[in-house]
Amino acid sequence: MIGSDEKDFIRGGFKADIRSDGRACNDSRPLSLSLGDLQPCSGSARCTLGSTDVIVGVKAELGAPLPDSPDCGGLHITVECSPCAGPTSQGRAGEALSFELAKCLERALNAHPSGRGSALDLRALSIVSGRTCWVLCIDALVLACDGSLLDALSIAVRAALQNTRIPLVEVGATEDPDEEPELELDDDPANAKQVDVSRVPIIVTVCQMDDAFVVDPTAREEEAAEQACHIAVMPTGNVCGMFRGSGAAVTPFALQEMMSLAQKRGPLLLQAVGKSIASAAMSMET
Amino acid sequence: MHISQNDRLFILKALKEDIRIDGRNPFDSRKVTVTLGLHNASATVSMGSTRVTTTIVPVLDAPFPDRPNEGTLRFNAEYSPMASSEFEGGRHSEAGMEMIRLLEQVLRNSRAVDREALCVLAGQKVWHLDVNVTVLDHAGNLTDACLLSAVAALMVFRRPEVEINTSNSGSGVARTLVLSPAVREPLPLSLHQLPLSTTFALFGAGESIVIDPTSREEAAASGVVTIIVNTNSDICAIRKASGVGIPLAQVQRLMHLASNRASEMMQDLKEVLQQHEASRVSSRVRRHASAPQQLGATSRSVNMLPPNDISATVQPYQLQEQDSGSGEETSSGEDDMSVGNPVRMIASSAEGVPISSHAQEAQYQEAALQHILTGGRSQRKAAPVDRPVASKKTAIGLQKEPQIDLDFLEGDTDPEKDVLDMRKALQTKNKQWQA
Amino acid sequence: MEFVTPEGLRRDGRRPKELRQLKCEVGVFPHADGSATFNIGNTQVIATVFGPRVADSRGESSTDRAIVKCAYSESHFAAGSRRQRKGRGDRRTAELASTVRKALEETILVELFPKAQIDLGIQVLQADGSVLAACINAAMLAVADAGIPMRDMIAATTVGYLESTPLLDINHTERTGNGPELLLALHVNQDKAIIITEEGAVNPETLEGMAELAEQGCKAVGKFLRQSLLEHIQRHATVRGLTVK
Repeated sequence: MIGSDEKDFIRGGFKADIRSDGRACNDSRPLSLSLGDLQPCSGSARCTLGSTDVIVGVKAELGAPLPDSPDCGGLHITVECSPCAGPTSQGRAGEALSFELAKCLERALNAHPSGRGSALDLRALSIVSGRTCWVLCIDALVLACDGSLLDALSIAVRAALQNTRIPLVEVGATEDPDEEPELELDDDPANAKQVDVSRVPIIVTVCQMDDAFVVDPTAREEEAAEQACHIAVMPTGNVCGMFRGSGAAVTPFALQEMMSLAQKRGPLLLQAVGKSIASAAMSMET
Repeated sequence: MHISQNDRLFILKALKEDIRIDGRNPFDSRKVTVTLGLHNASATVSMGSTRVTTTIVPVLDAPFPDRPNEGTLRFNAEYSPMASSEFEGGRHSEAGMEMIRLLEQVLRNSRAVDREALCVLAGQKVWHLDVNVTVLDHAGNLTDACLLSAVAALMVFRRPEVEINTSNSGSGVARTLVLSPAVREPLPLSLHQLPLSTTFALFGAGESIVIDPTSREEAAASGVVTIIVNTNSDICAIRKASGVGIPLAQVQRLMHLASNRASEMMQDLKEVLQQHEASRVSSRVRRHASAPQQLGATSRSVNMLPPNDISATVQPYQLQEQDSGSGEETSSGEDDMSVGNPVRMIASSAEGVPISSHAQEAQYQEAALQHILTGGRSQRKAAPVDRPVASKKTAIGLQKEPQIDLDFLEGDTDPEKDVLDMRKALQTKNKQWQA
Repeated sequence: MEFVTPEGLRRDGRRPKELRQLKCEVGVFPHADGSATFNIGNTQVIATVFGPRVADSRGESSTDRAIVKCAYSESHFAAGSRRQRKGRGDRRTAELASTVRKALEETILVELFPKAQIDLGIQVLQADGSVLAACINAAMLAVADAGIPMRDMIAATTVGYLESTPLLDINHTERTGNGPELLLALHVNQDKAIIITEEGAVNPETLEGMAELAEQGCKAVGKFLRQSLLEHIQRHATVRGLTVK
């Protein structure tokens, strides 16, 4: 909760292109990623964007495909607000927030149930058509909330998926087509499959206050701003999703501005993410 | 419970001189009374003013898929508002949940009750026991009372025998038939461990310790320790989950005290169970027409049987081969000369006479069994309304018992009918005495 | 399966009286008043403290002391197999939260903050045995980081008993052996046991041995926690140009 004086102060800062932490309106906070911390998961990533801290674990489990898409694997996304994020993130408000975040992430990653247009190639997750497939369970945990939650979550999800290793499965031959085939899982990590994340988008949060548009707002800035938009941007620069936060209506012109801003920022952010992942991987190997 | 500062200081000061507010010494427990209930399915424990009842309801149903050979125990602890003003009612109070956790830990997870023995037909039918602990009056030390009443109920509980019929149905699905106690004597549970708990309260910085605190002492205490010991003197559990710290050496001492108290309580409990069993057997024996009158139907069935007869009957809490090979009619339907029912006491003072017909008795017992199996929820359809009042020297009370019990337990009493029954009963009694 | 080899080594190569590797970090979250992570072997726990602050509900607050509240959560990926049900709100987590709360309530000098509320938040990232002990240790570090005065340092550890050997700091595999398990939370300087929970039937002599081992374990953990806190303060002091004796 911030007072009106503080809102005015922030507004003045935006006009002068100076924010409370010294950034310009177009600057993101420093990003740090650490991969593979969680042993029980197939892949995990922890992303810190300034004070916002999220951790994502991906588990690949065997399951059955949905009846209307027998050749596709499954994808489940859950978001949970940890008690560490503060007493305000608990209770019903916290649950509503987690649900909303999970829905946004799902929509950004999954397009059509048939698998077309989805960020992940779900067909690659199928093992035996109509019977067995890999189900990726993505569990996100918000440890600290200081604005731009969707940004941090989408980055962490992308990094976790990149870190995920799915064991190779050999399907035993069966004479009887109705019989359940035998599955052999290869434990060797060198033979494990990687997930193709080339089309996984990143969400960029843009806030508007008067005529100023800011990227990667902190919690206070989010509260002070009147409108906010979360735009999902692919690595190619194309926009693949947009979610409106609460707040006043956005004019079409403002919307255009926000989208072009996001399209510019998206690839830059992804580059930073790629660098982080690479350096993290190198430090793990050394 | 809240007590004033004055109360607290008074209690603490008295403890410094080794006096407790109810006059006990610090390591004296209150008197424990165990009353075993009707139909071998309930036990009420009183520790001073604290009263807790446990009832066990068996349900025959499909097992859990991951354990097809085992029955289950489900615990429920109700901290009813009538016990104390601090209980809010409903089944989800924090204290109630802690009690359920404790009971589950000590009686279920520790495999104290043999769950495989509850299996009737592997994968299809097992006994699920619902153990319902109800706190009737809270005057301190609910932990000990709840656990003792649960253990007593488990020890006195008898589950009905089940017959499996694989013959007829061609599909191979076996049919189970629950046998009434008249046909086959119900079986006790197989218990590997009998855990009993002792609760200590710590005062001040832990220098004063008392056993079995009352509710005022609990309110003035700065910590509570519960130690659960079984009959082999093994420590089953220690729970000190809050309150002021104590040195570990102190804990050793408490373990020793707990062990002593547990063996005393078990001794008392076994005595009560033996008495209960004796009275059950005697009522069963008396039912039989040719049963020798040497048993003598004097008032309290407890003193009736000569000692060797008790030994001929079984230790109630061990697994026993109770078959009806003795040829006697088993009658645990309306049995239970339980030590609390005044109606029965009076009735048994009459010369014990067999009931007119076995068929009727079987009917009563069937009704009683139905009642047990459905937990009292079924309609009272089985018990016949007409009672053979006329026959001379009919033990009135013994005949009346099933009717009144079922009424009472099911709650659909018809007061007018009860009054009529009473009147009829008195009339026949008068006639009998005049004759 | 065998838990202790004839040479006296456990399945993970430790000796019976050996703790797993301890790691902790104090002050990880700037938004919380106090925070810490505590890792013992593969068990990872994060604790945060918010407070002392004005109590949320006047009905719950007390006029002579602060109330301590604890929210406990286990993440979906904490255990080996992904949990389907919620990591909070059920009986087991309620009991764990309650135990941590009571342990810290007894340790914090609550009489100094009447009408206030201290919120503890515990998040279990990975669970590999001795989870409750790790939670208590992490909570203590977080409370120290928040600058809330405490009566003494509290350290917790577990001891199991398998194949006639008391084992310090059992992990998840050793828990599946279904032997008795003892959790001890100790005020290390005053030598007072705050939380003692023992589960599983064990004879008194064995329990005495387990309790002694647990006491030693707690003291070792306490030493480590103290060392970490001193290092943390040293770092802060250096950053601010202060000297610390």
